[in-house]
Amino acid sequence: MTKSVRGKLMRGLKRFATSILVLMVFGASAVTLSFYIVSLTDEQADDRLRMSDIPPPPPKPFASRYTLWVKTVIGSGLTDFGSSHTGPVKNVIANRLPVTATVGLLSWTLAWGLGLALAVSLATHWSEWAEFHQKRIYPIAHAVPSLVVVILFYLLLIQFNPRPDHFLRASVGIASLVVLMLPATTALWLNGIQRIMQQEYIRVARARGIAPIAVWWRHVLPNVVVSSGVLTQAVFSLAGLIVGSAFVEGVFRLGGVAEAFIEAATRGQAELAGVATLLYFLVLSTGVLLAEGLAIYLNPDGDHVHADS
Amino acid sequence: MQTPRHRRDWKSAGAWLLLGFTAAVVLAPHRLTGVPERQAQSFMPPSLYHSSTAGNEYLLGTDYLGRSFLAVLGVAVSATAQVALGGTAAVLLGVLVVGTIHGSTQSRLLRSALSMGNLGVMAVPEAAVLITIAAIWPRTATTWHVNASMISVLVFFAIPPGARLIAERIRAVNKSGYVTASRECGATSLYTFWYDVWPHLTEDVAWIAASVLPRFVAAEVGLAYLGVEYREFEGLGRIIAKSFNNLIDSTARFQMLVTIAAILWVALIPQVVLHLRSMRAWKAESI
Amino acid sequence: MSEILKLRNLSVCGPGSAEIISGINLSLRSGEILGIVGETGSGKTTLINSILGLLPNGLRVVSGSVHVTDDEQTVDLLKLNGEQCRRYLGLQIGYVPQDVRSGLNPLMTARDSVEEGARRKGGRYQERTESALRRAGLPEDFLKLDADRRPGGLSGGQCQRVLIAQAIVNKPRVLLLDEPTASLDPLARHAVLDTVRGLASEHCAILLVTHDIAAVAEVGNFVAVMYCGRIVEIGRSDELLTNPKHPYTRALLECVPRIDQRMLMKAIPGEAPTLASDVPGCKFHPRCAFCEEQCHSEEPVLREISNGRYVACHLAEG
Ligand SMILES: Nc1ncnc2c1ncn2[C@@H]1O[C@H](COP(=O)(O)OP(=O)(O)OP(=O)(O)O)[C@@H](O)[C@H]1O
Ligand SMILES: [Mg+2]
Repeated sequence: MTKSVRGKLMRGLKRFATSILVLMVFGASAVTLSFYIVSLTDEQADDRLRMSDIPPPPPKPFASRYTLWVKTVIGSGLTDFGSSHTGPVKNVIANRLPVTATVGLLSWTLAWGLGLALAVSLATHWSEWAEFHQKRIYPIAHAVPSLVVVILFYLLLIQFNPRPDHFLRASVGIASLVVLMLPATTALWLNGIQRIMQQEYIRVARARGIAPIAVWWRHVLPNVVVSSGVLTQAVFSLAGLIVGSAFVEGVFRLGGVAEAFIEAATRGQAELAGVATLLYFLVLSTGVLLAEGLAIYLNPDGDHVHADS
Repeated sequence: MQTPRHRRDWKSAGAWLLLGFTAAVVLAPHRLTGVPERQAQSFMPPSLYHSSTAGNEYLLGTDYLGRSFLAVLGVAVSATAQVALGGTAAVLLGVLVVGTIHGSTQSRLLRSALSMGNLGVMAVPEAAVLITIAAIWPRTATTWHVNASMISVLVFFAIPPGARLIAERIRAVNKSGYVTASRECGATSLYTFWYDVWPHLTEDVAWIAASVLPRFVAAEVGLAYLGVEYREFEGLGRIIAKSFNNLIDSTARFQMLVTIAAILWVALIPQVVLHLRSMRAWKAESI
Repeated sequence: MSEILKLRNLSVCGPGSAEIISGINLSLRSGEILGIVGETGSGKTTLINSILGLLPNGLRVVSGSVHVTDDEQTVDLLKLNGEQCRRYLGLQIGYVPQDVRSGLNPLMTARDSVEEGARRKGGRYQERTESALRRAGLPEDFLKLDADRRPGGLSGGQCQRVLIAQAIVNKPRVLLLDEPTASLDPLARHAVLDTVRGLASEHCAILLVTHDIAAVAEVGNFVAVMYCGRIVEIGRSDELLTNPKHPYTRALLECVPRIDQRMLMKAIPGEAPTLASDVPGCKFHPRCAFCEEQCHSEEPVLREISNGRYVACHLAEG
């Protein structure tokens, strides 16, 4: 028994270590790449173009700029991240990160949490609506551009309150993101739930008189999480959220990192773009590792459950 | 409770009519909705609700440059739809090629490379790539280069999820007996693909088209708002961005709502077509 | 002894109100084993599912009652709501599903699966779990080495016995077994049948659905033969199996392979109708060798032809 447990543990650890390694390589190259690409645009090109007809000189060479930046970052013990033309990158990020973190994490959590709640209700009480959601609401919602939804929410907001304060703007912004993601998250959860509910062991659990809550908690949900790809989708939906965040931060005038990143990219502020990319990868890595940990915890054998899916 | 048949007929006739009109606008916007030229003051209210005002003959009013908004909208719908349709066609081609290779290859290396690529595409925010691509081109670069590179990024990002769907389908079909049977009867692989495999793919292809086309619309609209739109491109996104800057004006607000309606309509065209042809095969797992 | 399970006139309809089982009457006393045999699709699983109130989507009970008696009272399970039903399911009524592989949660270890049910009754549930696993015929080695594996790492027969352990862990009064020996080798089958007999001797009433007529002959006190969702013959197993009265029972018994005779068994000609309502009169008449005029138009009812022996055939005599 101890031997097999140790074997499982080793396998789990190995999977985990591989993931960390892959993520680190991926993250480092992404940061380098984004720094490189952004450094190709000239920071002051705009202004120079406005002042004269002479074409701007080529931007600072990438290699020296990048090594300088890496030296600064590592040399300062991760306290100095270089500076862009709007000031030290650290200050820019420190000012803007709270907004983005709140908007992003809250809307992500709410969208996936509410999606699950909605999917459970659709699967149990409102089963006649389940098909309607999957076949009508979800595909249509999927086709609606996110900016349009965000703008509609903004129009609605200023219709009722022409001078909304920061808190109200942030809340409505988060609400718009949640509404934007909800049909997709519900559809994903519902799809997984419906497939698991057809499995024989769910019926057997009911026949054994297991309480409905326990059937959901111990039998349905773990299998949905392990076998339906919801976990992967949830983690990677963070990538899509960046765009949504940028729109919300722009339209609702919240001033966040996503907006700053776009400005950095168009203005050639490679240092800022590099740090923003790094932040994104930290969040993504945390998500991937948490998801991996959850999957290993639920299914230590790591084999494919439900070969039919 | 079923909708009575004649009412459904009316509805679908209306939808076909609207589709036909849209197609005409896409193909010849100048003929149908006019040429957008500076003719009047900015933001004249639409003649719809100000018909009494002298000299106000613009159905939807004028835009911020004093051009007939109807003409501007027609040109924008045309431009947006053309990019979206062209991009979707490119994606479908890519999806079929990559999917077929992925689905029929025996090489484990190729397979795992393709699935890694899929994860990578999921993890990288497409918009960030688009924005940086748009920004690194020097100002002297030709419009064509800039726009083509941006559209290629969109196409590239849209291919892997669709290709995975197609690959799975092809693998399933290849496993079934009749494909093997027809191969053994000496059918060429082109023949097998066309008669035995393709019929199983049509629904998936339709689904991919319906979910990819809106992405092109969304990208165009979103990028325009963020200030990195396609160069020299008068699409629906630019109108949204301009009217968003002039939200104080009630005409601008009205025009923004009209534009939003137009965006939704263009984005939903494939779904309307699918619905009319009742070829619905939505699968939630393949977002 | 008293009746523990009593079905009255139980009918189940499928989509398009096609009858899947029709007018089933059964009763089961404590300590009795009733074998239900019949070819595939005759509605045996549906019968068990309707007792449990767990019919799949599309099927519903249209009439009848399912009375269960415990120490204090007799209740109709079909009239109870979900919460009230749970007081019987798993505690008074144990159930072993037909589909072995997918009957166990793939993420739960064998021990956890059994223990989950055992906890419901409280007390020393861990001990009861162990003893249930043992009684289901799993060897000591399994308890030591394999009980903490998930179903993916168990053989079909092991899964089967874990399912049996799940069903008996709370010492139910009624046990519904759907093909409990289908995926077992002869030795394991013997062990399971032994367990079944042992449970019956502890006053458990057992409904044993099976294709294995020899098993019914070994352990069953009574046999019911189902055809097209109806019981066509029912009686004491020793009498019924040696002296079948219904032509279908006779044909069915002739299909049973015998180890001492190396000859091809007789098959029943034709196929069971997919929709019972398509066939007027006796549902078996298209395949019956003794069919008469009356059988084409009139559906026979189950009638007693001798003490405790019921047959649904116009021609059967005592
Ligand atoms: N969910 C369902 N929807 C419609 N018809 C069903 C459903 N489940 C079962 N049936 C029908 O009910 C009939 C009886 O099925 P059932 O599973 O009870 O047979 P069975 O006697 O258990 O067969 P087997 O010996 O193969 O297990 C079959 O004809 C089947 O087609
Ligand atoms: Mg059955």
